[in-house]
Amino acid sequence: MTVKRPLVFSLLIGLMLVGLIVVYLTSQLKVVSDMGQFMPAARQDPQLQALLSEIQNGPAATALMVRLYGAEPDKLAKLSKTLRNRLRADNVFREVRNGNGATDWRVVESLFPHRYLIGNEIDWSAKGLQDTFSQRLRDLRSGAGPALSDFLTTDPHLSFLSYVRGLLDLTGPLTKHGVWFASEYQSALMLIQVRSEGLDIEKMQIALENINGSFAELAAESNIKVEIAGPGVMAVETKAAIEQVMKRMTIFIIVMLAAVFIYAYRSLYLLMLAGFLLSTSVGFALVATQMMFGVVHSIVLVFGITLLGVCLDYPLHLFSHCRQSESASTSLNLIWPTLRLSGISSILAFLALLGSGFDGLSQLAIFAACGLTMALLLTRYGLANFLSADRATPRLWNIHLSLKSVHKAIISILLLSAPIFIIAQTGNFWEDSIEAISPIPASARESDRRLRHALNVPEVSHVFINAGDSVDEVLASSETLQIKLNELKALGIIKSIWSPSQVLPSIATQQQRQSKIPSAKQLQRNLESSLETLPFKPAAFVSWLDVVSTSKKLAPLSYADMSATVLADALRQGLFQSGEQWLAVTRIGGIRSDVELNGWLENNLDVSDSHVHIKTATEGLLIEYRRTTFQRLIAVAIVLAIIVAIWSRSVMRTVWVLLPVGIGIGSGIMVPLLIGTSINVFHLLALLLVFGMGLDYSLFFNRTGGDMLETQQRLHAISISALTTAAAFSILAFSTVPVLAAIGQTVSAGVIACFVSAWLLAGAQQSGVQGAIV
Amino acid sequence: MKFFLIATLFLQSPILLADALTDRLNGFASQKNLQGSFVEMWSASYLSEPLVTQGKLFYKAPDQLIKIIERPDAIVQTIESDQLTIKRDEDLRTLQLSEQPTLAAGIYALRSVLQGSKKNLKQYFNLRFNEFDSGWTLKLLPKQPVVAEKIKVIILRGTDNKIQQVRIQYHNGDSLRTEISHDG
Repeated sequence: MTVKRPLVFSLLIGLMLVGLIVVYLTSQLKVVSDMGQFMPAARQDPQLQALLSEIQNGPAATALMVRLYGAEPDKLAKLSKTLRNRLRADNVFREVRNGNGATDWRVVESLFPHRYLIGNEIDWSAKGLQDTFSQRLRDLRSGAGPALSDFLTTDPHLSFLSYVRGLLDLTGPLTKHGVWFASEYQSALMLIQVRSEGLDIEKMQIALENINGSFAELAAESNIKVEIAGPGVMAVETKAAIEQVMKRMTIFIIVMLAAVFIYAYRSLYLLMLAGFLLSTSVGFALVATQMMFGVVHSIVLVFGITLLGVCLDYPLHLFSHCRQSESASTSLNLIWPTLRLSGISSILAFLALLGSGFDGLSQLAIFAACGLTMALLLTRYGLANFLSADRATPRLWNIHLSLKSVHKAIISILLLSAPIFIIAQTGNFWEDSIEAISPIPASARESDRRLRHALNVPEVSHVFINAGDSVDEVLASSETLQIKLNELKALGIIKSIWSPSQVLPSIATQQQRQSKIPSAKQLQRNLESSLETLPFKPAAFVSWLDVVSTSKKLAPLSYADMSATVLADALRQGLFQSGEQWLAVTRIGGIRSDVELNGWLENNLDVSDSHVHIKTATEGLLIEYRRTTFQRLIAVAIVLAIIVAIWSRSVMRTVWVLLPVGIGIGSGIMVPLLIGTSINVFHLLALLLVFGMGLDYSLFFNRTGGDMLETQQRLHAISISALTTAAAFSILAFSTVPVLAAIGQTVSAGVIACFVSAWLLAGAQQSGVQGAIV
Repeated sequence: MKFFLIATLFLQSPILLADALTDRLNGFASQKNLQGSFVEMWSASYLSEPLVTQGKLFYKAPDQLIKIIERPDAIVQTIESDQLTIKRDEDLRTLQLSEQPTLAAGIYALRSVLQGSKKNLKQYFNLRFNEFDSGWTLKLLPKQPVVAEKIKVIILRGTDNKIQQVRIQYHNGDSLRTEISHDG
């Protein structure tokens, strides 16, 4: 048998292409699961963007909160201590705390000389010093002599110890049996920092496994239970949910396609060809996305692979239209104009996602467009070379009704009216809540909130942002802000304030403190006066007097100085650079009531200007994005309608072609509403897919000319496409990830509606004979 | 012969003293409740005179010690298990002894003797016990490096089953001396 040159050429090109794709992906592919890429990009608000980035990638992102419960407090405390020691020996964790413990000021010893610049305000007057030394006397009488010996003659105000304790100790949880407890003593608490720069899901997964593993071993013979919360937990659960969907879908698609091809085409060879086309298209789409963005989001991977089920349409059309009496190339040439129009329409519809404001969706646009393009090109220039007349023997079927125009019109009105009626009845049409599209379950969010409150760890939902051109500018404004926020604390509306200026006061504040230090002579006089009635020897504090005088001349501590200490992370939680600007983030903790907080902010407009309620701000951006997407959808519809009109050269024909698309879109919106889900941005984006699929079906059903066989072939290809697409997306429809569920529900409902209406309204007019499966 | 006798006596003395310490501690262990008064003096290089506090001391087996300072300030210190609670007016502070080893050393010394626990003493200290006609002396040398760095020695003195003095000597010259008189 002579091997045809085109076949050899195609085979070589195909193998080379696959080889390049495999080599590139093996070495370069990086899949991420950061949900932030599917959150609004906040392009109009760089401050919010920077803050969201810090919350997702900063030190707060690596914190895990642990709760032990289910036993008496002493047993919980004992397990807490043992677990703490076990985890401290594990290199996966940077810090494991279950109590305030003895503050080890030595970790920041290098800052000790600057204690009078960075610590609290000191009253250097004779009276002030007398009060200080009187307090120290009381401490000594309480038995604190040994504890004070390191400081009494070098820092009698205990300024440095207070500074370090203020930063490192948590003031919220109660302590019992030496460990932190939630207020009702039913739960022992721990706070763990994973050794990681930002939210690394792999490291988080290992950390969780290690915590759970150690806990299981240590608590094996008790009833004690463990609960873990934090951004890392939520990220790992999200990734697991997405992976589960991927696995289920992959298995389902493989089995489904095998069954469909065996029955409908009687050929596993065609399945192999289709599989090769699909995998090459997916591979090419991955390469393009990875090259353009540097990463591929896992949701894009899942959705994209399902989406590329649309790519199957192209070989399906070819396989179904092959005839024994002609070559595959000839069959392809006959359907190519319609196939090309359909493909280009789908590609254009997805390219509308570019510039959407979501990095993840821009990825999806490139992924889908590149995949569809590759599938179209492979079908046109490659697939036919591997098909001979005897290879494609589709089992055709012919189920149709003969409808008159008036019947079609009535059916159109009914099919259009139903979704419009349902939509009109819906009270809450638009979903603007960020929680509705977040894959994080409500239970995980509640767990995080409860533990965060119990540990008095700073909230991430309410923050105050100060922006400026320099570190010092923002530190100064955050100092002013903190003074005002102290009122909230005094009122009991909040329990704590955390500001970066507590770690590093502004230069002005440091210099102001220096200026309040009296001269050496005056200080000595004040000291001697203060000690007149106290049993302290003035001579014991001579070197301290020298140190204080030296403090007057020290250069203020800078951001660079602080970044070289172990407090760098603590500082970075609230102070970072975004482009040319510096941002200071002041956080509050232990909010008693959001209503009280909002009420106070309304009466303090100068403070509320810098207030950001992350959830509200993000939802505002989501609403903006939804509006933009809706406009984009309308624009795509108009453009594609014009294209169809130019192609069909007939107004009526354009209407009949677009009607099923409209019905499909209506059904795609109706079904989520019937289920009880309001429409969010991802429903709208899924409608782009419905648009593309619907147009494909309608264009083919409305092809003029052709014989009865072609009509059967058309129905065969489209029905298989609709079946496989709807089946694949129905897997997503039941996913626990809201984004995937939204897409699945909209597409599966829309595609079925498109197919049924396109067949009833257009395909039916071209057949007049009832038949059977042949 | 003389040499042999002296050698035997020399070798036997640690054993005899060890037995004496055990006997002494057994005597303490039999007492479940003790109370007395104390006068405590804290001397340090930065003080022109020792700080003196007075009050009452209570012990309840196995591990509760209560120190009520009456003069010059009213402070209650309660030690139970590993926890030290200090109450002064409305102010309440709690510390974990295991996290404050230098502060805890004196408490461990006193409590271990009152418990009659040689095991606890040996956990934290090297022991030197001497018994005389007028009483006994127990010298404790801290084992933990972080404690040994600060505390030179803890010396307990007493007669029979009563501790009369606890003295903590620090390397920097500071010292804490507690004189105890027992009720009943």
